[in-house]
Amino acid sequence: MTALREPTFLILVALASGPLHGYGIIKEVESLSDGRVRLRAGTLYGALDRLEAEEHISFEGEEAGDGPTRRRYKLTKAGRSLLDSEMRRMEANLGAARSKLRPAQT
Amino acid sequence: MSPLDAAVVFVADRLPGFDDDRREDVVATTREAAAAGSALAEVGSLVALWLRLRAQRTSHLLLRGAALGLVLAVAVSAAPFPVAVAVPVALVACGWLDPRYAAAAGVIWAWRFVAGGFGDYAFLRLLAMAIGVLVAVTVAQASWRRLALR
Repeated sequence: MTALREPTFLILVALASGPLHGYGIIKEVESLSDGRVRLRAGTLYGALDRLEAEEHISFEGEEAGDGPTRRRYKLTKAGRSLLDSEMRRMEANLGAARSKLRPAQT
Repeated sequence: MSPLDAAVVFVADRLPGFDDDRREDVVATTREAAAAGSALAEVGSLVALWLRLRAQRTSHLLLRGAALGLVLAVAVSAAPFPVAVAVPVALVACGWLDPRYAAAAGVIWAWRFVAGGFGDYAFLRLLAMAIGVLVAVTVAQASWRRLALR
């Protein structure tokens, strides 16, 4: 399996706690990364378009407020499974890196 | 409406494969993101998305058209002259509505020239093929532009 790009990974993580609209995802990703990753609208919608086509996220409904109606996105079962396998891959890499670093530090 | 706002609406209206609701959503999100950061960078990212999606969909559509053209080119290679001419002409006519058919016609004309070789009337054959391919490409482009603007 190909590793997810960081913005894609963070979008999936942002949606793991519940459905969000576009700007909500941008804010959540910024918060999750401590301000390091600031998604631009084009990057966000490119990723959402691809993830929706791959059925990792789906359209959940519309959120009507004072402003325009907003589309909300949610993580699908396939998306949660993709996120799980990506986390396992990252954990395995982290474990390998730690085991290599420890002997060198002592 | 500010020039940057107008640019956001202009680009969002041209995103291929996005319906009206989704375009409105893109505009709303971009406006919010632009208000909180750099408006120019947000518009730039939308333009990059537009170009990427357009390129992806164009190559995908044209590849499907080329595949159809190859199959039809082989199928009509042994057909009598009127049929061999009528098929690509009909495809170009359909190409006004769908660029895949125009791409298919272009492939058929190119195939017929290659399959015919450089024997008698090579120049005339080359000219006929070149005109056919040019017409097919022009129709495919015009048809694609119409689709992208939807």
